[in-house]
Amino acid sequence: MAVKTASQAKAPARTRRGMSRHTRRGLITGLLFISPWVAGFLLFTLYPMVTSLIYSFSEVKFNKPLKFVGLTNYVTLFQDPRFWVSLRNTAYIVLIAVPLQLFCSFICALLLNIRVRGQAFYRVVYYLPAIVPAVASTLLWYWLLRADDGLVNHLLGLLGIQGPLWINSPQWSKPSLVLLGLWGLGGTMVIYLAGLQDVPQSLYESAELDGAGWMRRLWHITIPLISSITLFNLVIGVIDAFQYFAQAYVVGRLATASALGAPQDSTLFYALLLYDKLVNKFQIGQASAMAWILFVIILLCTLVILRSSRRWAYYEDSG
Amino acid sequence: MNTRHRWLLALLAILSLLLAACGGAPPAAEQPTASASSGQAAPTNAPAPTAAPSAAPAAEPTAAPAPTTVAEPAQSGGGQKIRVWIVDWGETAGQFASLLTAGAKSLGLELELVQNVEYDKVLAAIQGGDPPELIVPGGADNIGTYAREGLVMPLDDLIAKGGVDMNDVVPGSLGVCRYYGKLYCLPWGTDAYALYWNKDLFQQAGLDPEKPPQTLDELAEYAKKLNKTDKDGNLTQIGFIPDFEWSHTGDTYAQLFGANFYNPDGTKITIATDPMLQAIEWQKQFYVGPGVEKVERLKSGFGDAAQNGFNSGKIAMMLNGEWIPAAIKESSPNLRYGVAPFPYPADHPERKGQVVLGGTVVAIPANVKDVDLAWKMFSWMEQPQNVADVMVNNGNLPTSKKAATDPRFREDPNLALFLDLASGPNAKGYIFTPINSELSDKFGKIEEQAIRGQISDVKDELQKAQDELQPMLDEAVKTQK
Repeated sequence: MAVKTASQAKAPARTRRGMSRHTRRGLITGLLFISPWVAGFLLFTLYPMVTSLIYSFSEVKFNKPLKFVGLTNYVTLFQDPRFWVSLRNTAYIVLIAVPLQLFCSFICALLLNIRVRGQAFYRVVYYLPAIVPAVASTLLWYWLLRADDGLVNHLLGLLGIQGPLWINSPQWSKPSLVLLGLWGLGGTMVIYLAGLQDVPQSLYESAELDGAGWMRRLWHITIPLISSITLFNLVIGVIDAFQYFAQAYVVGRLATASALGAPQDSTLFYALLLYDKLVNKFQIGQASAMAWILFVIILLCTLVILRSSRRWAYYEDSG
Repeated sequence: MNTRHRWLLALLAILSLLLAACGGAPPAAEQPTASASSGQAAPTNAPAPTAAPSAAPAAEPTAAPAPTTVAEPAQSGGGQKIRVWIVDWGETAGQFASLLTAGAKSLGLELELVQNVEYDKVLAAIQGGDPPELIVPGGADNIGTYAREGLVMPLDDLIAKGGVDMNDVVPGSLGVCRYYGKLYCLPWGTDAYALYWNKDLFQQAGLDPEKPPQTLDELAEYAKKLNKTDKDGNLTQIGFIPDFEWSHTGDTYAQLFGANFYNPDGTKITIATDPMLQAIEWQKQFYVGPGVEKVERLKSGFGDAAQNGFNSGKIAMMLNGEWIPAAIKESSPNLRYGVAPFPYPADHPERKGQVVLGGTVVAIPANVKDVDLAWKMFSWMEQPQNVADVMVNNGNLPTSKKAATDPRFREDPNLALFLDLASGPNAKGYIFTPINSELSDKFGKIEEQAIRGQISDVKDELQKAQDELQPMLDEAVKTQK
């Protein structure tokens, strides 16, 4: 119904004098219907965004009026070694965790798309971790990855391998987080699964008649036809990765020094540093600047991905 | 569907949205950066004395439970509402909530007590313009920053009005609240630290279970004897870990060696000194000696309460606070342990029994709506009898001299030892400044690596950190004076 009224509202006026009574009614009703969104957008999205943009060029003190300081916040930020550390750590997640996650969820989706007995059961099992809250799953993995008697190191020990310190070591903390992320890939996997079911069976059948084997069908039919799904998962994955926070935050508090980014800043991700600057250091201007830099980075990355996708993402309707 | 119905529906939708918005969180709209979205619980900038006074073990799995409101069931005409937020403690013990509620009631007030609040909520509440009347942080280390940013108010005028007997406050505990001549908080509960040792493990290692080490060298020597490894060379038991449970234990070692973070008036950073290096060097032997990787491996198995490294018999000695006996009684009642003043450097016998006092403080947000209301509750909390009641309940030490004479503090000989240390001649306060948060970050990181032997030139690193932060302190001093 709302859709209908909205389209009425957009319809060109029938007379020169303006909208008819009916159309105007429709317009008002339509606006009223979307007003919750409009109010929410203005209040909770646009207002904070504009405010933070202003803050990022100001000295923000609780007890003093705003003072315009130009690019000072940005310059200070670029001189802060922790800023670069956090950017590097975040890049690790974006460049390693995201592709790995896409790959693994694609493989899982392929497997779960095979008709076997108990298919529904397997699908549920693989999806379940995705609905476990981030904090809970991080705690769980923290225990699994405990260096002395955690399950993972225990199993490695049975094979005669002494497992690493995992989360407690600056070298292994990020790989631990990547592992943790892979466990919760249910969300992307389900989207892939839906995509796989959308691939017309007739294509497979004719390819099979032409003598194409499993590998060739995968390479020439499945992968191109779900490339639009890959694009979607990639964009969402990259955006999420840049805002990586909860898991790292929990891990930081559990690890050795119970501080943000512990051990030794190896899990100091961008969003964590932003939070630290805001809440613990009251560097509201710098935190706002960080938010905007992140916004621009994400925007650029998304644009690059979308641009490049013209070459590899395939939409059935557009050819 | 006819038009009238549509109107009704639209109005209902708006109404429900408004209701949802009103029922939600306090107006944190001023918070500019929304990207740290999933901020479950907030961090404390840990490496500083944020002693959680209750039985909370160190790395509390953060997912802090949502603050629970322990308001009295609303009675008819329940009186004016007063909001008190307990910030960054662990769980409070026993009768804490009902003691405070009864206190508020005696003043004709209705208490809304929120516990387990994290600092980000406090910031949001103050910025949102409707803060609680009182905040009670587990340690004063953020108060300087709050004072610098104008988030808490100076209390001197209120104190002058009367209500709190300043002569009754334990001297030395005020230092953490005073910034350039003004008091921004008042101490409430005191934390002191001492040596805990496991008597069974001492016996097994052939040490006299009734004789704790007296000097720092002796402690190191005992620690070596108390290390145990299995057939694969893995540590199964360790004598001592300098930063077990708290990263700020380093402050105690530093002061024992005669080092401090700042000069006495808090205008100069003094971390790049020889005593500081000695303190770091002394801590280093407990990591590098048995092997850093091995110590970390053992540590990763420590859990909470009965599984805590000390309670489970994996650590023989530790430096920890006065709330531990109460916690052990609860989780590991059969543990045979002793408490003694922490050892001192052999060449400085005058530092025997030296402790660094930290603890809980009370402060008033700068933009509180009703200052008199806040002060009313504040003064009640600071009355000796009430301080005694609350701190006895928590297993913490009082900051009131009169409260300290309460016989209940002497019922447990372990707590009595802390009481004596805290009122002894070698009880030192912290020197805090408005750049604590920044300094403890920088210093904490250097210390963390240095005591693991991962920095070759520690003094150089400390000097660099000092040079980098000094201008910031100068700036803070200038604006506050």
